[in-house]
Amino acid sequence: MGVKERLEQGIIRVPGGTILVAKLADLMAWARKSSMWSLTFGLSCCAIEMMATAASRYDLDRFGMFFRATPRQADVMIVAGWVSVKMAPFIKRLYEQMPEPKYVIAMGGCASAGGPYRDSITIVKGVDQFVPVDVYVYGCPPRPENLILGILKLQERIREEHRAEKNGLPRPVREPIIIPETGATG
Amino acid sequence: MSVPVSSPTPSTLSTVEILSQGMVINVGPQHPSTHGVLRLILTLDGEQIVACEPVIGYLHRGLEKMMERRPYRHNIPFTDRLDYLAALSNNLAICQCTERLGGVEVPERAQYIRVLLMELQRIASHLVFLGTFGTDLGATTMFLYAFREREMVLDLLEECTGARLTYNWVRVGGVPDDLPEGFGQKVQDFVKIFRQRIGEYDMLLTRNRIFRSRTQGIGVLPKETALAYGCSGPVARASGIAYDIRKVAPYEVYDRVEFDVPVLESGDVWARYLVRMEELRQSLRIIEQVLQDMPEGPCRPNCPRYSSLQLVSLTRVWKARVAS
Amino acid sequence: MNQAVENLLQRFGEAITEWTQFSPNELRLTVAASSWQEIAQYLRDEPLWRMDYPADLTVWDTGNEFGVYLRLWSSVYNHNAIVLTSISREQPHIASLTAIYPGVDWHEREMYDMYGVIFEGHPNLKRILLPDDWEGFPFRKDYVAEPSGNPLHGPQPVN
Repeated sequence: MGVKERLEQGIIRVPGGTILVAKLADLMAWARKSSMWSLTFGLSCCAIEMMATAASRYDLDRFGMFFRATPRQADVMIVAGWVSVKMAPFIKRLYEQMPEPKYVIAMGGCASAGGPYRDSITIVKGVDQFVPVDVYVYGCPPRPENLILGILKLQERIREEHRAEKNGLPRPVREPIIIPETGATG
Repeated sequence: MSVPVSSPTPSTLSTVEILSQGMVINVGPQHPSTHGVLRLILTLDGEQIVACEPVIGYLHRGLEKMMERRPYRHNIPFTDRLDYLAALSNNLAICQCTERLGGVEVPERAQYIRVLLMELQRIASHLVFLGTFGTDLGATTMFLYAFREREMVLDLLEECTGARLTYNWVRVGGVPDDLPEGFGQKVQDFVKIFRQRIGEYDMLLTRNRIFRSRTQGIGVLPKETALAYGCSGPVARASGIAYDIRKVAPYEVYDRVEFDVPVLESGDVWARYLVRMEELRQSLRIIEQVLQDMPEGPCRPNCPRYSSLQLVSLTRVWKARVAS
Repeated sequence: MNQAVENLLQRFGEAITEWTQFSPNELRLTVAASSWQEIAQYLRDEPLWRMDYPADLTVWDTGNEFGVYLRLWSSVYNHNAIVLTSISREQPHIASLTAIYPGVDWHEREMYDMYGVIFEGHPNLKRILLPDDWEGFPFRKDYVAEPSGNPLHGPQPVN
């Protein structure tokens, strides 16, 4: 198979060297998928689990995830915790400040649907009321493994979106990905 | 805008006045480096912060309103999420209130188990402090070390309670279940390892010159100010207030274990750090004693499950006592 | 503590409607709202009391009136005191203690936020936890917790 045919399938590595040959679009998608930088943005309990995911044992760096301190450099926003009416406008603003393409992970019950604060007077019942959510990770709070699963699913989605783009198909409809609760919660 | 040349004279357009206005900077609430969601409106004069107005309430849930409508025992899960770094301590607080209202006796073994878990929880909570504090001061490695040990504590707590962060493990009148088999041995192993690890932290931070110069003499809180503002916990003890609720009004079996309360006088960031480090060591001491003295016996609640009706009536009795 | 209690009762007389001593170092006082500030000042400055630590200040709603609760601790004698008073729901006014205990500043703001109690003399009495444009005082028993009363402001639903 010649280089040209192989190029159709994506990225190839030239044997014996550190050279990659790829179409620019492929390369972009590959980079986009494997270096999702996340916005450092913790709200409550889930933020502690998010920190634990980034720390020694779970080591989020393995997936190219890296916490950035500004929305201008972030690709994915992990909403980790409950969102109050007072906080919601700031989250919306942060989302708007992020460059395209951007993704949102709603981590935990509160960010997904209000969680235990379903009947609270000040808590917004789900962050999807004002920003589009790609992945819902259930749990109260979710275990780090579940968050990682959510991130991997999101990476798959980014690849699929790119494939469709390459083949001239319309962009797939963004159905929300739901990561169910497994085992004991975090 | 045209300014008349003749007036005002340079003396009325004083440059001093312009400089003294300072500069207002907004920090948060979405600022990435804030722990918890807090907004600060700072007024700066050059590099110096001359005024600061904190704005809080970005995480307010109106929990009191929600708790009003539920039976007492249904509120225990909510307390997990008050201070999520020390969920068990909050569980204990609400259970103790209910026990006091209902006059419930707690089995002795349950009291020991509670103290054991509380101290493990204190270690986990202080480790988050250590990690994030180090990160903020530029010692990013500390974050990884502290969370490594925190995972060990979380493993222990998970084995006992079944959850990593929100345990919901204390019940009115006891604890839901006995410790798992071999738990004591695992805790002892952990204590042994963790003693050494505290030495590592000392090497990394306490003896670190840069760390010391960034904390010593910074943010001094004098004793009078700390008292007048009602500071508590390590903040108060670092400012010379010898107030620890475990000593002042001992609960559970804290009056049967030996431990010291670290109190420092200087009231700066360094002192607050040292107090917490010493508390880690004291927690280990308490854990060892508790494991040694823990009696056999029942630990589950030995009281009727209070429905809301019963406890409302008990509260009424209590209220009547308040009113009489 | 006995001598101190005697002096206190003598000094304020009828302003203290009742008092109970739970234990050698725990005292509960119910006082008239009019002498709220005066008693707090006395407890802080009197050499036999020296209540220099404001531990808590809160309000509760009985449906007929608001109760106000202040808990103090003395770092000198290790004494605890609980001071209670009640104010009417229609005219919820009480003197602010911020000049005596700076630490109750936020507590008083919170109680204003949640119950609408006006602390007279507070330097900065405005909402602290809820957004500034919130309608009503949510912790009152007659508050209607309908989301339509205080909808989500700013961004509207995307779909």
